[in-house]
Amino acid sequence: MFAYSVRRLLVSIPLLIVATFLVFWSVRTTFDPTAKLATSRDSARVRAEMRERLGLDDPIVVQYGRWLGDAVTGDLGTSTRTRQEVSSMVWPALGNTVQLIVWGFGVSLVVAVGIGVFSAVRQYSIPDYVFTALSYVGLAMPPFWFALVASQLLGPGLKDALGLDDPVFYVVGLHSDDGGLDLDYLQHLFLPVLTLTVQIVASWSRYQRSTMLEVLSTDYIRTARAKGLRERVVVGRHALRNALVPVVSVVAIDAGLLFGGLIITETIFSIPGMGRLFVEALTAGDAETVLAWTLVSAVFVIVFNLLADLAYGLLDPRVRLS
Amino acid sequence: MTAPLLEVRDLAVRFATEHGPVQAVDDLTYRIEAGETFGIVGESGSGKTVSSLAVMGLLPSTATVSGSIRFRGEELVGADPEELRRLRGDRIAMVFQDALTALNPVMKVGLQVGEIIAAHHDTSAADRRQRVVELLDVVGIPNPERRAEQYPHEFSGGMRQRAMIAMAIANEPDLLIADEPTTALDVTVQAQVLEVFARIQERTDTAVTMITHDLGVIAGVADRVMVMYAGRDVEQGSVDEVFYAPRHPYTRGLLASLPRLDGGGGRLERIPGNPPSVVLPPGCAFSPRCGFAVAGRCDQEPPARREVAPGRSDRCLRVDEIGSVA
Amino acid sequence: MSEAPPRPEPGVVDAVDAVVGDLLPTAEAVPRTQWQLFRRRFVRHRAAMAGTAVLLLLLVACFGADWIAPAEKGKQDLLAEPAGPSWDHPFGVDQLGRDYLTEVLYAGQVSLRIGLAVAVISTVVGSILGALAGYAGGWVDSALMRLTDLFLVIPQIALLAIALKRFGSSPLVITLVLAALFWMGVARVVRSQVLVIKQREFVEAARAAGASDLRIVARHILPNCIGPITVNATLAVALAIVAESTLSFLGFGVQRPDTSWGNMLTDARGFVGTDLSFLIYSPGLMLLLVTLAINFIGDGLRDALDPQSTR
Repeated sequence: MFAYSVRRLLVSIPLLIVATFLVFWSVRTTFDPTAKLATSRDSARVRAEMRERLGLDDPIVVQYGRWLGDAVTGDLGTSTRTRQEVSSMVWPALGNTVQLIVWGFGVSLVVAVGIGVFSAVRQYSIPDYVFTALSYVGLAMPPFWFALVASQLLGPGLKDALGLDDPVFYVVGLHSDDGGLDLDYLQHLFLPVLTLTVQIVASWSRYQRSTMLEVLSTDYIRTARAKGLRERVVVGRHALRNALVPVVSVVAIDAGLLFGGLIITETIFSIPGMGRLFVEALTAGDAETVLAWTLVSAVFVIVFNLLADLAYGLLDPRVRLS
Repeated sequence: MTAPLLEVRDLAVRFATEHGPVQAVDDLTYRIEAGETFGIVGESGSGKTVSSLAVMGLLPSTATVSGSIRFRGEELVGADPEELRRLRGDRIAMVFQDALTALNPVMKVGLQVGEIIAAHHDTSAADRRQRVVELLDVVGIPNPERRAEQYPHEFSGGMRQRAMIAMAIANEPDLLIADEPTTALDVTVQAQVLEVFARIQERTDTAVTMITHDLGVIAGVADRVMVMYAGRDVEQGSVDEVFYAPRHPYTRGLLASLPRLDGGGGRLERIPGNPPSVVLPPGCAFSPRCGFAVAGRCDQEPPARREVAPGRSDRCLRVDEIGSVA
Repeated sequence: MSEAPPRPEPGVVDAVDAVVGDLLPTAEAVPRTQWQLFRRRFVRHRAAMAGTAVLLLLLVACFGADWIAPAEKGKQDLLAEPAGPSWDHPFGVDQLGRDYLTEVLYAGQVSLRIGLAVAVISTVVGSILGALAGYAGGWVDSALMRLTDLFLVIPQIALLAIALKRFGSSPLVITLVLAALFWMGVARVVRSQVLVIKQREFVEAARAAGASDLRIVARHILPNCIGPITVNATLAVALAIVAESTLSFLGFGVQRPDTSWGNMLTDARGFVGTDLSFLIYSPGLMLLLVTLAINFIGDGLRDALDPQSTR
């Protein structure tokens, strides 16, 4: 099992390299760092100088190699847009994004498992039908639209409806002024996390419900009941343990995909995280930042896939041996 | 005469399915005395498992149970679910057919066995652990301390079945229901598992219900036997009576289809037709396949159970006319 | 939204299975074609029928905008006050004095066209490549798997955005770029279906009869995948529409002066917290309705095409 994970990790590295190379090639052929100098005096010579300095006439593979080598040692280059070190932009942004991931993830997991288990145990009850209907809507809901509507209704909308001076839930950023884990922070977190949660919970809870239903109809659950165990123990100790296993791996894999989903959320709620950084950088043609972003998010995805495998092995002993 | 350990009277079980109601068990009456081994024989779909699940109270909510099931005088049908839960695993225990799927794959075997004790008695973890090792030893699992820490998929088929038995006898139940305990095993292992049952009954006064389609098993271990067909009991009696002097045509067909070790008997007889469908014909359920069926009678009148002697009964309109085999 | 009832106990199932077909007095004696069976089952799925109705309505409304829309497309009346929904203007009037309903309908043409085209292209390409890879096995199959893995490592929106920046963002390019990503999902699904079907006896029989590989794939294997392929293709339409809208919303997709529901919402976003905030609802609602309708249709198709269904 351990060897399997290591092998998977090793296979991922060439994938990472090829994928980032494709992005590198795309970005390099789209954005010309010397374009800004086109209007300056003596532009041909100045631009040629810049090309020389940045090594832009070398074969693309060589350029890529250079970039990768630098990136691996922590040097993510300098942004042609902001003149800053890319790493000084990326790390703070990552910090903010991670906060959203942790909160969004944590809340979603608890809610999804709760709804899924409840719906399975109380199949065909009214709450089950309600949850099913809600998840249909949740799955069909375009996330960016939900964010917009939520920000309108629960942001300025709620504020006006209650006649308050300050909004209950904020729609911009993570803090009003200075940082800190206070009520203000939570008021800012609420809407972005809600946006993330709605979509994820819609799909995870369905999956949890169906795995739970499958588990509840197995022979070993019948054995557990035949032992005279209380229903609470049957569901909580026997059923849930088994039903969580496939869900955990789905969850871990989705977590890697969260990076993409956050692009929308951060943009709409103006949170200075990786998602918004990506949009700004790509819109402005900031190649270095886009590349750094790609590398970081790819690593993220790979790490989470690995965690999914490990979690599976941890939860299901049948997978562990050799 | 002492009251029987288990008395089932007019038991009927009906399921609500997407194809309409299905009567899985109908008009079932039998009794089991303390300490005896009672065999239930039938094909798949005969209702043998469902009737035992009814005794355990393990039927799904789509099932409607009517009739009476008395265990040590207490009525189980319609009883308080909490009462039933207390009896389950403690006074009445069940061993299921496929031990691989019947054991929780992500939980250690020792814990699963210990759980049944913890569910009904206040014990310390240490005491439980000891008792579990003892039980695994009693059922003949070598290296019980090590095995208790393993998972079900690390056990062989026979060992898993023994572990299930260990679990079922942990609280020394009065009645042990074994549903096809040997069907999923090879012949040599079958014999070993039956050995275990025998040994258990020597030590304690446990009554055993042995559910199986294998007549050989019945012949080997049972005191009395009930033959089921299409959800009803069609013949009951001691093993000697039923095997040597079968009365119902179905029982006779079953016995006639057994190969004989002594080489005699010629071609194997078989029971023609198909197992009973969901919608039963009017009259006797076995009539479509019965060599003795008489049109106009057997296919119109559903036969009632007739008790010809205490504990000896059959359900056939023509049984006296047919005469017995012996 | 059809749920199967709880399974009866084993043992009962055997008896039930034995005569399911003959059981009910209403069982037809007339043999039905697959198509008739499929149509009957689909029609019985109420949510799917509702979805079909809604989708047809939207298609007619959007593509019939030339006849249906109350105003001319893009006609700005700078003297008109922006206002919420009214009888004259069911979706209101936007900041440039345009009738919002008209804008939404015309924008729908773009989004729907792209969605449908992406689904068709990606399904055709993905099915063929997936079937070939699944059937051929070996290095062809591995190559396909590695290729698709590649595009799972980087978040899809990012990939799409980068590609659109590189190759331009006319509706045609958007369609091709989206299809270039979507076909891989289709290919994986078809490939796994083919792997299963490949093992079945009728394939061996065909091979023993001397049929060429191509013929086997085309005549025997692909037709058996039609079910999942169709369901996937249907759902892909919705996914493609949402993807295009999201990209357009972020500024990478459909560019002004062309409108799609996505970039209408980009403009509307600026009016959150103002009197014009009503502008955010209708384009998004269209998106939601289309996606819901398509999801229900996909559900109905899945149930109707299920060969295991006993009804």
